[in-house]
Amino acid sequence: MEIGSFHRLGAKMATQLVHVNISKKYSNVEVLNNIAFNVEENEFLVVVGPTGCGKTTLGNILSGIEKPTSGQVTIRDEVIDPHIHNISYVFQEPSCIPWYTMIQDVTMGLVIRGAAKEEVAKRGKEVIKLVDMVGFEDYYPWQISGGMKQRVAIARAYATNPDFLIMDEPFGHLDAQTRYLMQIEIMRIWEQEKKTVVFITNNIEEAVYLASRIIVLSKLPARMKCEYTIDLPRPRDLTDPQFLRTRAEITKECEIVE
Amino acid sequence: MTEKRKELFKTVGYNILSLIGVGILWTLFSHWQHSPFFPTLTAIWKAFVGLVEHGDVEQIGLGAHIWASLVRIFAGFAAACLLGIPLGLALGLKPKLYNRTRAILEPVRFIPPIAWIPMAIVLLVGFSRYVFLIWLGAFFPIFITTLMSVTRVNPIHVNVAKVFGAPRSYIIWKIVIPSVLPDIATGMRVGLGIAWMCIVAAEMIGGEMMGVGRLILKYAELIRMPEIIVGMLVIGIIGFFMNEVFIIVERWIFRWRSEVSID
Amino acid sequence: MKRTAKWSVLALAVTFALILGLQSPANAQEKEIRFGYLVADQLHSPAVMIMKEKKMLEAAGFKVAWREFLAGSYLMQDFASGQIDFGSLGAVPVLITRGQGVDVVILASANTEGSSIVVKDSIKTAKDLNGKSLGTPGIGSIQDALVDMVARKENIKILHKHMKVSDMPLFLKKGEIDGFIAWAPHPARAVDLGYGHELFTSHDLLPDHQCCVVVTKGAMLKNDPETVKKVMNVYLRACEWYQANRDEAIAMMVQKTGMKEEVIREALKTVKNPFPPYCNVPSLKFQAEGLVEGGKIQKDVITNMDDFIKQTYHPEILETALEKK
Repeated sequence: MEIGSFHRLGAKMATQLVHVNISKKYSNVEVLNNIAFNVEENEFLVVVGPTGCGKTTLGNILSGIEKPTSGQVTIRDEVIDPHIHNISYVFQEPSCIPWYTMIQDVTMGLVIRGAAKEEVAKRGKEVIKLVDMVGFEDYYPWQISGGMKQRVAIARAYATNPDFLIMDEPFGHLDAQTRYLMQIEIMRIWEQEKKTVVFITNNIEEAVYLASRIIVLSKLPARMKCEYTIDLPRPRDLTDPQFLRTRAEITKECEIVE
Repeated sequence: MTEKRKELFKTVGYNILSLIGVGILWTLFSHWQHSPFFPTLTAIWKAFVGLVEHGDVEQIGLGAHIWASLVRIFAGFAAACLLGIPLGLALGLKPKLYNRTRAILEPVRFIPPIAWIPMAIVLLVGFSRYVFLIWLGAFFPIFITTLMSVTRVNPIHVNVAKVFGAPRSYIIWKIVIPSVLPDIATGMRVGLGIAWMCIVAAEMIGGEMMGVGRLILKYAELIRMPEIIVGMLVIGIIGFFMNEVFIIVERWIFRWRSEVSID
Repeated sequence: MKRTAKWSVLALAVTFALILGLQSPANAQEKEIRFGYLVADQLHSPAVMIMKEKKMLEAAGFKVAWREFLAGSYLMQDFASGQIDFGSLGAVPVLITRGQGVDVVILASANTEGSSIVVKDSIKTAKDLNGKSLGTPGIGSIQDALVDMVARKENIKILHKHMKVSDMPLFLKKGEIDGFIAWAPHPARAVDLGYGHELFTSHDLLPDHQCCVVVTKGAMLKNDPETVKKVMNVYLRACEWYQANRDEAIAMMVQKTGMKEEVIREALKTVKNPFPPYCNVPSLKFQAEGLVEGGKIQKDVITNMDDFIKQTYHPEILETALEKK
């Protein structure tokens, strides 16, 4: 499996990379009801929804580790399969492997995919620099903070140059201040290495800060509620009146706060 | 002096102090009791020296007894690991199979090794009897801990590998096994301790001249308390050291585990 | 809530008192004694067997708790902790225990001789035992001491393997021991099963050696001689009965041991039950000396052997009981 991003050859129209059209049911509980959307290449799509509405299930299905009850997720018109396609996932909980040092952790995907040793070492160093964790290569997870662990998870996700990157509330377990810092960080990282991202969160402010486009889900069973394109220039200003208006509008329109 | 060094000195120091305290209490009590069945520390020491220098009433030295028992313990313990770890892993990965065989496995767990002695005498011969009885003691802690540890593998770690498209063999060897290794090590340590405790029961079978259990039983027949106590102390001290060494090895191998502090 | 508590406490107290009351102290006539004996020792201590079977002690007004032990040293262990009042066992464990300072005294003899060495067929003479292993009932038994004797006499080395007497024939059959020594009828049983042949009887090794004895606590002898006298009287009557009713006694042994009558009769040939049941004092002395030499009694314990034996063996009660006849 070669590592490499999909190269567009000067196409003007944004290519629709991923098509999603799924429903999911556990026993008799319907969790996702007719979720259908497309993800354009290199866009930062944010999915917003209230807590417990099945966002993590959506994330799992998008990454291929869970199967939908009906429908499918396709990437370049192929049904998504982690064994074939180059996908990365940043989990909500800290997902660093406890017995790996940082460098071993971030290069895990490359090793699984069978990359050459030199490539592994080189890319590993690159992504550690990308997430600003230089100097911590030989540290174990128990020696670093929660924010740093998530950075490692992001580095690991980036290391394989994925075609599709899913993040499921990656900053949810961090304290408020670290969260703000990480939002800035993730924008910086994404600008440096553009990837197709689906970012899941329940925080509207975060969504407006990060997204090219926002999809709002309803409460359980989750349905598509509304969709927004955010045209504000990056990096965005949390205190900017336009920002605040957009945020208020979305909040009101989608009745997220009851 | 670093904090760590200071703490180490304090730990060792307090332990030694408490041992001395016990020694003082023992001496007071033995002098107050003045009975041959509660020997003084000097009597115990003399008995120890006697056993090391001249051996027991059959001229078998203390070292020979210890070695004989150690060999039996390690044989039984090795057998328990060889059977318990793979079986625990296999049944842990296939919980349905475990659930369906519980009626066979669980009752055996509760039969104490001593109860197996009559069968061991009749069905087995010589060294294999000890291996069997000690295996019985050590097997279940190792097996059950291994089994339980598989169920406790963090699904997140498995998912991380799955998202990268890892094959099943990678998940088992690179995710499951390193996850369960610390728990297996704990199970092994517990199993070794129990194996050591079974040695007296195993050596009650008779027919053997050497062994720390046999030593205690010999002197029990002669009602000689000092030597009995020496035997008991030898068993306790060796067990203690085995445990400590195990812990040190565990800590080194599993450096990646965080040290949980209560204060 | 308080009322319920008071009533339940009262109810408990009443129940407790009732239970205590029901455990009425033993009838002044009835005294409880605990008598220990060894497993399958009916041939060595037939009088004890008879006392037990015919409930002679109970008839004399005692309440008896009978306790069985696997070997003499275990009986002595319980004796040392004060759980046994009277016992029947080999003299050697008694001497060893006495050497440890336990207050045990010998009252009378049960038998002399009565043990045999059974070996596998390839062993023909004593010298053949060099380097071989023999099972013995325990390091503190007379049988073990007899093996020591053989080794010393022939200047050879014999390995002792201690085990339960009931396991000995099995271990011999499996080849884990080359032979064993045990009290009758265990050797006869092994011979009968074809596991080996008898090499020596204890008569060959040490003629007339004292074997089993009847013991009690020295304190009991001092403080409650009446009880000891009574028990001795019963014992004597049992001995007499044994002398007069051999066949009936053998039938009892057959039933108790589960062995065939021919085997029992054959085994009895090696056992002597002297009457009157005085102990063989020189034999006791000889055995004690052997124990000191073998390290089983610590050297510094016995300053004067004769005194030691005198303190251990108290035939006065027996003499008194015999005189009365």
